[in-house]
Amino acid sequence: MNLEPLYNLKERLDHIVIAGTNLIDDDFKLKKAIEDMSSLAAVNPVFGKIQSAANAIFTTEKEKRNKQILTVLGTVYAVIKTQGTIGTKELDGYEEVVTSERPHVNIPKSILSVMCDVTTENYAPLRTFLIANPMALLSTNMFKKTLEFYRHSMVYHGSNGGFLDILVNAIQNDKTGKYIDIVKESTNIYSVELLDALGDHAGAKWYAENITKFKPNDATYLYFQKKDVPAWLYVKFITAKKSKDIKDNIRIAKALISKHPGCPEIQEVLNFFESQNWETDTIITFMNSESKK
Amino acid sequence: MDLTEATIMRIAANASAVSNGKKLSQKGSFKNLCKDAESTVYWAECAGSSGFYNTSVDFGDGSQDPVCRCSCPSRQFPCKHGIGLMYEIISGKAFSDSAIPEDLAAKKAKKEAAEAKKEAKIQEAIDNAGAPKAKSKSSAAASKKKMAQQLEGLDVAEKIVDELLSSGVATLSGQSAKKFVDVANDLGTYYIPGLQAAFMQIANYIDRMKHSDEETINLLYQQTIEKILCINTIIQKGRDYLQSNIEMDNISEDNGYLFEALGGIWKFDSLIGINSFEKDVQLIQLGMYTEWDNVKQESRDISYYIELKTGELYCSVNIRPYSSNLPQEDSNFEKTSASVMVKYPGIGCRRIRWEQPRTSPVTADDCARILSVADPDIPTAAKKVKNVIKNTMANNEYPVLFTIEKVLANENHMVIVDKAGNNIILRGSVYMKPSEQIKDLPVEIKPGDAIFGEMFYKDGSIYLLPFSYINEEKIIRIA
Repeated sequence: MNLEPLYNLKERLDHIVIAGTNLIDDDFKLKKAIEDMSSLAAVNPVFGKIQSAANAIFTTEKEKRNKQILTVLGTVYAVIKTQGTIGTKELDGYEEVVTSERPHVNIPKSILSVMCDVTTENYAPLRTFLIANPMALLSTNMFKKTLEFYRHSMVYHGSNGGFLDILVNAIQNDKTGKYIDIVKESTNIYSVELLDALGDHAGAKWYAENITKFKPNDATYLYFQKKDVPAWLYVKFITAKKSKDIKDNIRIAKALISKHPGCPEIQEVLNFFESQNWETDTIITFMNSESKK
Repeated sequence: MDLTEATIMRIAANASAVSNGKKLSQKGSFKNLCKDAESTVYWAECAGSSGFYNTSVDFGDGSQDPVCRCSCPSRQFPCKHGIGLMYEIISGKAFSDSAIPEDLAAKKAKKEAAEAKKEAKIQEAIDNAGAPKAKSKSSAAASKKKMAQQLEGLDVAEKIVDELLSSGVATLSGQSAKKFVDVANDLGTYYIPGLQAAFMQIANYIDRMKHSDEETINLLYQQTIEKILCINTIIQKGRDYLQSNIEMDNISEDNGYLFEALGGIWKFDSLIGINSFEKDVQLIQLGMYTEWDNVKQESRDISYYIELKTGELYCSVNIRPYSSNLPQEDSNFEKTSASVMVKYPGIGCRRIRWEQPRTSPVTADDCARILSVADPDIPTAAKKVKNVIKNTMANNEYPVLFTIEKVLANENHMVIVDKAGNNIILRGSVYMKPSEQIKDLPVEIKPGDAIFGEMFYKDGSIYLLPFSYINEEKIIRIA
């Protein structure tokens, strides 16, 4: 039986629910879809009842109209589901699957899921869930578990398993500010994208101020170079290392700068420091005055 | 009870606990290994970070999981020391016979007394099953007052639905979405948290549309419409249910599902009270999965079971709020026997709970029993599914167990074929690729074997998501 009129009716009723039933009187497509049910009604009285009930939508008092729409739609959904096709009529081209006995043991989920995720980069379920439910990341437990997978995937696969995109997207679309707080609680800020997601230079500034918590990697330096981060912020970043002695930090910074020379503007500042023999006072004066601008 | 590594892994909180406990045993952390003469209680001292901990494992009468006790500060239960002691037992270490230490004996006696009390309470509930307990005047009045407020809540909910339909789901955004959430939140004051959660789910779908592609948006609209239909049914049927109960106060198994749909929480003995229970059941798990509910902020571990005596399929649901540290339920490869199992009223696969479980290995006889109660063909199984999924309050999937003839595949699809030549297409989820799992089955696919899975409706067709393969000797878990 060709159920296309029923599917059309469902589609039109769905549309009305989405667009608003206030517009129903002018919905000629809906009226046509109801009319087209006559071909099915001729075959089976159930479809006749659906058609009558659908027509009654337009004659029912306005206050009861929505209830009538839902009654019809509920019936349409029920019939469609019971008419769901099962299987395929065409088995040409199918071959029999042959399997054979071999040693086997059922492994409990607690062990299997961790094993699979780490060794196969099978983060798809968690990733898909998190994309669909970014609010779940607000639970610190979930976030910590996410970062654990992230770390594992970095170690075993050199990739981020797509979680970075999830975190970045969540931060950029978060209006509560809670994601940013959770990111800042974490000690796993590896990426340019995450820092970028924290907002115009806010990520860089926060990173520079909290540098002792982290082990910056190339990605972080890249952020400071590729974005138009002010030179003073970059200098603060490379000089704010774990050692309290700024001279030690400058020594480390000089080594790093050779590897990450920075954008022209930053390079100009570093050249200036070089000309001043990397005097501590010079550097501090520069950062203080620049940061106030 | 015969303690096996499988049992240890099942009762441990997680894989780390098993691993840590095993290590303690392997590196000889235990001393003064003792047991009672009946070999029901084992105890020892275990080296810890601040000295030695007193650890014990109590098997009781062997009918239930062992109870571990330990003086360590860990809040994990059982702790790694308890697990380690169990590994000491199964590795055949020598335990000296000794009298149970006084403090341990006292704890054991206290537990036994508590269990006896619980058992007595369950027995009392069974003895009074079907005969509703007479409520006190004040309790009856409070109950009626609550139901009256619930009725008011249904009117409010109906108004929300009405406004939503009139303006259209697509108009829910920004301020109107916020207003919708606020109004839905207010439903909590009418004692109908079930409906409140349903409305919040709609808000969640609308919110997710902001970050979604067109295909996902269409899917979310579809889910929204089905949720509205479900809410409408709960309102209409709930109204009749509450109005009749205000007079009679007689929840029965037939309409008890509305109690939960409105947000009520069933207690174990209450379910016995409405005669919704079975005695002396034997359950075997055939599949499990976890789902996350961002609206209720909880995870749910759903496990499917077959009850061997009746052949009925059920599900258990382990609810874990996001904020809790409750352990995720693990796979259960053993047979669970329970003296009492309660069944939650519901449409679709009935939820169950049980008390005082005992476990034993699954045998070939059990597998043969499962094969004997499987539906003979795909249409028989599908008929049950369609009867359920047509209900607006039901999910779009339902568990099935049916006998197969063979499995066929082409490069795009895999189908299961029954003896009569009917077939059903296997379709996975983001969690499973059934074609790959079936192709790797470590047993020979033979006519007369059975498949357990979920039949589900999607885009005009009904598909099968397989969870396990059963032959006359074993159950191979695919999920």
